[in-house]
Amino acid sequence: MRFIILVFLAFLIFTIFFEAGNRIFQEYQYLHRDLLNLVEKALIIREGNPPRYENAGFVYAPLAIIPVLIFKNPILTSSIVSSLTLALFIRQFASRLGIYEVIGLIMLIFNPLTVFLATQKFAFLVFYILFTLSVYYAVKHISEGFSLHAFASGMLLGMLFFVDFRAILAIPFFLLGIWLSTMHKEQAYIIAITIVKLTPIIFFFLMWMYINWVFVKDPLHFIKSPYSVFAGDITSIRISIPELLIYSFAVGITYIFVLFLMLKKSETLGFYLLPLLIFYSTPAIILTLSIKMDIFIPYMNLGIFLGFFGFVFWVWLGSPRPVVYISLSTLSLLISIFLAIKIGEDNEKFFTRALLGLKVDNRLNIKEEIEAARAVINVGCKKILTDDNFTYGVVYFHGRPKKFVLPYNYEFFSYLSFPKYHVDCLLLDRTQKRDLVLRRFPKASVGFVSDYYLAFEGERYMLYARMGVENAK
Amino acid sequence: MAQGSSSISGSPSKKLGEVLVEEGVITPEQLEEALSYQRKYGGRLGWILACLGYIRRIDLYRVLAKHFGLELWLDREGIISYIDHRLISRFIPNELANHEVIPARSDGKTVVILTSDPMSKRLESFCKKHFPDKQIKQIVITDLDLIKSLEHFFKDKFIDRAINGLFYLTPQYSASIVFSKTQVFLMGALIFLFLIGIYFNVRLTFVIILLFIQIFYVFSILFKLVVSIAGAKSEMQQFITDEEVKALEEKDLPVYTVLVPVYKEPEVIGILINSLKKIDYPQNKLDVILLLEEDDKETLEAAKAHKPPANWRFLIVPNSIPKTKPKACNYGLFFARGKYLTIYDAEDIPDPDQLKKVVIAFRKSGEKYMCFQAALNYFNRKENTLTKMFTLEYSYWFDYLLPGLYSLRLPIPLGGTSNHFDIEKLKEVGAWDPYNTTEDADLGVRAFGRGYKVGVVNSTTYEEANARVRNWIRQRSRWIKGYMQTFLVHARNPISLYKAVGFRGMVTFYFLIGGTPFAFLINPIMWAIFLVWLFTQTKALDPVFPAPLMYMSLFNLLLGNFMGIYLNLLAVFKRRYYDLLPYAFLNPIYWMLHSRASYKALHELFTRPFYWQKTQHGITKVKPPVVQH
Repeated sequence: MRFIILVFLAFLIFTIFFEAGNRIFQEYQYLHRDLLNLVEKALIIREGNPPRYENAGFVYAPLAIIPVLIFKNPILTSSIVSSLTLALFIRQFASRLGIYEVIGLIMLIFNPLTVFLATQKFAFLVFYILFTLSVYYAVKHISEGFSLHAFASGMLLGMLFFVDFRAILAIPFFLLGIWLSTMHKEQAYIIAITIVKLTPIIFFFLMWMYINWVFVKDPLHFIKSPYSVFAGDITSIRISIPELLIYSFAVGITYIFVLFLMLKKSETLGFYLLPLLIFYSTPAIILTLSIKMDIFIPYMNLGIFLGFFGFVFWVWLGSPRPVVYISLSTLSLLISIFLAIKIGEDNEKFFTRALLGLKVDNRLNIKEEIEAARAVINVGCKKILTDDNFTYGVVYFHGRPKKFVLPYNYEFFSYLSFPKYHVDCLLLDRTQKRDLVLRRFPKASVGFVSDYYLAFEGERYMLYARMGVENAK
Repeated sequence: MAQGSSSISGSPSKKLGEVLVEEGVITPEQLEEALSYQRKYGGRLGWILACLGYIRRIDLYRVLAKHFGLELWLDREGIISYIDHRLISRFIPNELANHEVIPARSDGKTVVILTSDPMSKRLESFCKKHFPDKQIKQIVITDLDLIKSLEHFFKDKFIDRAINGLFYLTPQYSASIVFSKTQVFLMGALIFLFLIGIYFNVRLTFVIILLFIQIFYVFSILFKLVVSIAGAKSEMQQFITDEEVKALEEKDLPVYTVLVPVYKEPEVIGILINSLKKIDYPQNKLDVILLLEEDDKETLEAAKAHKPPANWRFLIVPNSIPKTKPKACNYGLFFARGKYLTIYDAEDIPDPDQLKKVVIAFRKSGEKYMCFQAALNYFNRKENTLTKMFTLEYSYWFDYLLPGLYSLRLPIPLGGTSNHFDIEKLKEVGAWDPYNTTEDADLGVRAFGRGYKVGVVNSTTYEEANARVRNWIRQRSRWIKGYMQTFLVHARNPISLYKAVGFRGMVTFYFLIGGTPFAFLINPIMWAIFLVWLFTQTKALDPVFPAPLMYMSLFNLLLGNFMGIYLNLLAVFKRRYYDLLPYAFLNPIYWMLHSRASYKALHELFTRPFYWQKTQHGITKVKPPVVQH
């Protein structure tokens, strides 16, 4: 019962804290575009014509989109999901939490980069935590041998796939770790453990291939789709990969400290050490690899991934050298603030600055989306043709997706050929060359679409209304 | 030989052991061994010698009579004809059986008592209670003659109580009525509603039914997951440790009754006899009752051929309907001498320390515990694919699911054997329902509802896994029918059930007892729909599977089956049956067999509700392992 109370209290505190962080940021009319994209896709699942259920899975990982689907409000969704995940994470270690552990946890959770993740990119935070726990249980299984830990590890790894499809990258490392930790045992055991740890993620992967094959006729659609919500904004990266790795490890400095502690304990761990280190180094390897492969956007918050690892394994080792650990946690917090403000990706930077009450550039705010949505309503558009892979913010703030003809609608391309016979408004993003409406009407970016007049023009969005459509104003 | 009424127990000048040596029945070495046994385990010397096989039962009573200076009667017919029917009928048969006494005749001043336990405290208390002012004359008869005599006079009563005892005590818990009137009405109402629905809106009717099924699946998966995780945690702790077993004071061990209901199993009865000979429990405190049916001479002969020790008694259960194992157990319960009682099948091989562990478990867990269930597993698991699947299933059920229910304090449906009862509490709740074909599952729920707890003890009994599909289906259909019966019995009054077992208990009851057969019945229908859709890509199903429902169904189909398989993978770890793990992926086929058995069960529920589909044992080609003591 006390654990339930603990989880509930932790959940409550985190939710309030994250909501407060959000409120501060909202004053700058800011919302992360990834989150905005996600909530728009959720809106189409709920209220699209027809509802696009395929969004929950074929392009976007289901565990990332389902919470948004349930709670509707993206801000609250982020706070709730993040708080719940963190509360459950704390529950795992509740019996081991002393004063030093609590301080270490506070340093980690109240790090502005964690708060950024919790409020703006909750799926990343969930991914980091589930991954950390999966590895933690894999290591626990090596050292203690209880099957429950092997199952927990396998199941968490499987669940990761539903948070982010790229979790399959972890398979080779798990395979290596399993092999190294079991090579001295009987063959049947090695097979059994491998099956238990990897079955969920492989099964979920195959299952998703199957579902994609059934519904969109391409088993790898969820991987190949160019519209992944996590594709991020590549243009915001302005640092080199080695630099980024150095910064990430600086943020996750406790990770390195704990690594030394583990090596020091090698005498007692014996031959467990090597597989243990393989497991322990998975986040570092995966981060490096995914950056190299251009499938992971190198934000400063990657360091938080390492930070969670550091904390979990420090506790697992029995919280040795607590003063050093806390000192390094404090240092990590300061480094995070400094790096986020000075070098971080724009979203991180603005968020951290807003939290600290510093001046925030209004480049990334969502004012224009709101204004464009208002324009669509005010112009009186009844049927709007748009490519919501880029105009998702406007669709979301408009709030009535049934009025939009979007690329998933089977009539989209025929309407795009001769829009004047079918739709009364065209909405496009002039900054995105891949915008399908812009590609169909290249001159639209300079204000010309035949049979349509320019009804709204922002830095990014342009709204064209068909001649004859009454301006509601 | 007349004794004063104030005290009928006493100690003669010469010790029994000396008499036996003097008579040449035993050697001084045997006496020394028995005395040493007595010092270690306690108990009466004569009984110890008989249990060790040094003296025959008849010799024991002969010397016992001589030792106390009492008469010994061995002529069973003579004994029966001597007993005054009017006198004996004034007594409760259970009491006579428990005290091993028969008041045979009375002339007003003196009462002739036939007993197989002369000069004992319990005999004294019986006489003080019923004949406080009378002279008592004790006559020794053997325990088997005593049982036979009681059976002669009370056979009808015994059998009536064995069949209807539960009904007399708590009719609402008896499965003798398959469907209550309310249930019949409800079923009719549901069919009526269904027809009305079909008439007005076919599509909506099917959507609602399918939605209900999918919701059931979701919660069923979640329930199983939660319970299994709780069960897996039990791997980290041993409820009863080896140290506790070693530290047990053996002198204080109570008498333990073992009921062995058998029917036409001459091939396997020797397995249990050998196992029980080697069990780590004082033989003189083991009260083994072999329950045989009247028409089963071959098993009786086979059991005799194994020359079981004196602590084995053979009881012939009178022929009557229903001819079920619980009825035989109820019958045996009348003659049980133990403080605790367990049931083993003829082919069972219990862990040698199982009984001791249970005694410790009862002592550790407090008064609320009525029963402890030991794990069941199979010695012939490698025989074929079916036995492998069966072993996986049992390993999961007994090593993870039941410990999970136990640790979450939820009602536990008991397994077929190796459930260990506190006899008094067992009698209090009405013992087994002879009309229920999984009487143990029913008893587990009933005990929980009566405020008692059922625990799980970390000990295993190895059995013979069914190696043939048809035999397996017969056995499984009986179990599933029993689950259906149990569900129908306890769901008769949901409010009473809620009051008795609480919300969590009710959830467990619905998902485990009701949900298990329901899922097996529904699965093939859902699979068939899926296969039709998969192969034909038909749009005909679209109206009854609107998108949200279809995604939910797909989720359940894929994730539900995955969870079933994945949880089953757990099963191999506790016992290190790693080679069985890949077989867990064959579970969908195994579940189809379950569905086949479920439909058979459903058919029988309406046509032959109390019919006991006998499982044929002794068909394995695997030689049972020898128990190491």
